[in-house]
Amino acid sequence: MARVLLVLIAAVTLSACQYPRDPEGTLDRVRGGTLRVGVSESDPWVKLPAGEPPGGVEVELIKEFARTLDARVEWVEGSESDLMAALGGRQLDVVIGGFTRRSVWMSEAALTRPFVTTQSVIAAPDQATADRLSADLGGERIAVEAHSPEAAKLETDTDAIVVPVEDLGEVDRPAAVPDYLLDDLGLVRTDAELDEHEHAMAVALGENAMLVTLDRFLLDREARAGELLEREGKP
Amino acid sequence: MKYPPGSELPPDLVEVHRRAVRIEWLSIAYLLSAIVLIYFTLGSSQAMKGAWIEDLLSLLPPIAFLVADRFRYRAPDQDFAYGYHRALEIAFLAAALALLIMGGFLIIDSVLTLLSGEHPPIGMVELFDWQVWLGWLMIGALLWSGVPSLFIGRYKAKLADQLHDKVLRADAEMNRADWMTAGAALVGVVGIGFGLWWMDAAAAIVIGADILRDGAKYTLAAMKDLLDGRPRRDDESGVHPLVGEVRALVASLDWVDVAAVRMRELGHVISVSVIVVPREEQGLLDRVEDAIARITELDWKLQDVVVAVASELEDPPADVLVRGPD
Repeated sequence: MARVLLVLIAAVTLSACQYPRDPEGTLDRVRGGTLRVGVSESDPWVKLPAGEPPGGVEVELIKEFARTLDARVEWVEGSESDLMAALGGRQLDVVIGGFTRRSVWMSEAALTRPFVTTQSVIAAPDQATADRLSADLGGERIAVEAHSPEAAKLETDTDAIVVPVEDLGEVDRPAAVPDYLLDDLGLVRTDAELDEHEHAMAVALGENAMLVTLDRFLLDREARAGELLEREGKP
Repeated sequence: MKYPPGSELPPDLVEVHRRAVRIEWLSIAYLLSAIVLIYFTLGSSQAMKGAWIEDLLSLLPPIAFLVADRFRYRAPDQDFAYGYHRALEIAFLAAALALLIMGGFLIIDSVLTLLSGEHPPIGMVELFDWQVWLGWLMIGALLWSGVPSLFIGRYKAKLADQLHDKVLRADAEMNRADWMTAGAALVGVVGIGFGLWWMDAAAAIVIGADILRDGAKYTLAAMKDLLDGRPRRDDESGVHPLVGEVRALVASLDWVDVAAVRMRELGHVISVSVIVVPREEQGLLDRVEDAIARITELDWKLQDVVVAVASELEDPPADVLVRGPD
């Protein structure tokens, strides 16, 4: 056992240049070459305005990541399903589109560590209302962006009365919003949390050098991701 | 003659038994720590999953031993006139079946993974602000699951020999499987690190085959015990030497014309029943009691000894018969 271990340690040290390695050599190919990134629209993480280059929190992070690898970025737009299929067949290196660690793609792709965690919270226009809502949501009328996942969560998980609105910016009543919008909307947070989202990016399964390199990059930039979210997340 | 007792250990083995109980409690505590450690480093590795399942199953024999230990000192009563020795055999069969099923499951699962060409991802984790590749944590957890098992298993095997305890022996074998599993999983994880994605599932198949083999061996042994098979050594390496000794003793009794000697295992102890066709009827009571006493004196394991007499023995299987001296 001890001898086996020594051999292992020696082998790892000798090959210390890159450990873990990629079975298909993704990282080596990308370094100084092209990073092929699948993008699927998901405001504010990935924005794909017509006729303009992609933007958003994750797009900005990927640009910075590519710079550390001395790589050019090739953007490929598509639906989540199409992009994930392409990633599985190694036609793409990274796919972004507001994925969370609870994503259904967990078994199809390797998800990175979360680089930012957001919450959907119930917010109120003033502190007194916030205190009341922290105690109980039953029968309260809560505004929420129409057709959004927050609306769905509010409907299924609480006794509140759901009031769908088109634009949260004009609401002057308690609302269910992502926590990064609180300041912009001038709302006060309550203790009622609807959901938590750990945002991550997707890498091809088993390309562990690529995964670890992107993980390291993202773990070092949690503050930067927060900044980008403040900027890109404006309503 | 003394009624076959429920508690069976001679004084010099009481201390050995106490040590066995202590090491089993220690095993459970140690296994729980390894199970928790591996659970948190499990990731997507197939071999790690195998090592984890193996550790979970390793809990069964110590638990079976300790549960059976609660019963073994119970005196025989109206409901269980033969005592509670065989509580151990139930535990033994359950543990063996668990091994068998899990071994098969692991092999099938890993072969499917290998065929589908799934590449296991192992990324970074953050541990108290310290960034580390999850693979290193896996390797650490596997070392903790493997190295102590090696020594614990050897110690248990030694105690099992002295106590003629099959559950303890199966447990020792389980610990052997544990450290081999951990070693194979280690190779799998290091292999993933080198970009050899198939090595993980391949290691898991080797592990599964080993678990399956142990499971088959012990399930067969447990079935033989339940079928009242001839006593075998606790490590399944052959017929127990006491079988020959008892037969030789019966053959040396000058009042025996012919006798059928039947022996079977009751948990730790061995039960003997002898049907003798005597040469003459005179003084038969004294001779039977003398025979029981002499057989019982051979070894502490021979506690449930019955000698019956009959005028003739019809259709006995030839190979259980013993003939008295000429």
